[in-house]
Amino acid sequence: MEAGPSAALTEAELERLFVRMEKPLYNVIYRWVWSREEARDITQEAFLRLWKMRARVDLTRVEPLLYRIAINLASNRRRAKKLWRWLSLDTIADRPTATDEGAALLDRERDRMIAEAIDGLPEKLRRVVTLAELSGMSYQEIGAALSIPAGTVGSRRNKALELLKEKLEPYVEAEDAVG
Amino acid sequence: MPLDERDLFRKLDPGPGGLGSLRQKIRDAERSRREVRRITALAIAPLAAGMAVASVLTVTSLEDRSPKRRWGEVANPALIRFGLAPSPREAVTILPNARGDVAALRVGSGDGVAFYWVASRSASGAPDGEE
Repeated sequence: MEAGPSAALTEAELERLFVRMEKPLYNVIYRWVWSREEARDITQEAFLRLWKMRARVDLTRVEPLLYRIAINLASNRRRAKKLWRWLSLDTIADRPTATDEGAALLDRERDRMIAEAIDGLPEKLRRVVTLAELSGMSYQEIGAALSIPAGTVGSRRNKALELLKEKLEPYVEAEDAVG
Repeated sequence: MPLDERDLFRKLDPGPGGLGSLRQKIRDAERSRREVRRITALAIAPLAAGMAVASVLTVTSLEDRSPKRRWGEVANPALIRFGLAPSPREAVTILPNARGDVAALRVGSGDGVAFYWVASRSASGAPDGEE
C-alpha cells in the first residue's frame, strides 16, 4: 500500500470516496463488531486515518487500503471488547440484541444465529468472506487489501461459505442457499 | 424460524449524517494537531533557551581551565623552558639582588595581583632555570 507523493488525497476526493464507500465499509465492519453504533464509529475512524496519511496514499489503490485499515480497527476493537469482558467477567454478548437498532431490520433470533455462525469462522476466513460478500471488490483487490494472492481469496471464500452452510443448514430454506 | 440466503449478508444502511460527522472530525483533528504543535513549540522554546545558556556556561568554564587561559596568550612555560616555544613577550626585572636577566610570563591575574612565571637567562639568552 505504499504510494507516490504525486497521488495525494484531497479533501474533496476523500468526501467522494466516503459517499461511495461508506455503506459497504460499514456493512463489513458491522460483521465484526455487531453493533451499528460501533460500526459507524469505526467507519468514520477509518476515513479519518486515511485522511491523516493522505500524503502517502495512492489513489489507484485506496479502496483496498481503506478496507485494510477498517478491518484492522474492527479486529482490534473486537479483541479489546473480548479482553474487557473477560477482565470484568461480563457475560453480555456483543452480538445483536433487541435494543440494537440493527436487530430491528432482522429477526432477533435469526440475526443472532448468523452472528454466531460468522463469529465462529477463523479470522482469516472471516476477513475474506466479509470482504468478498460485502465490499464489491474483486479477488485481486481483496488480495491486495489482505496481502494474500487472489487465488487464496477464492479458496478461503469457498471454505468460509462451506462452513457457514454447515452451521446454518438446518435453518436455511433453500437447498443451496449459502454458497 | 427459517433463514433466507439473503439474510446472511444483508446490506444495512449506516444512517444519515455520516459525511457531516466526518467533516467535523477532520476539522477537530486538524485543530488538535495545530494545538499540539503550538504547545510543543511553547514547551520547547524555554527548553532550547535553557540548553543554549547551559552550553555557553559550560564552554566558558572549560575555557577558564584551558592552558591558554591559565598561561595567558603565550605557550606553556615548560615549552619555553625547553626552547620549544618563543620566550615571553612581556619582560620584567625583579628585585635588584636577583640572578641575571629574567624574563617573565604573565600566567594569571586578579584582584590587583599579577602572577608571572620567571625564568633565569644564560648569557646566550636561552632560559636555563626558573623561580
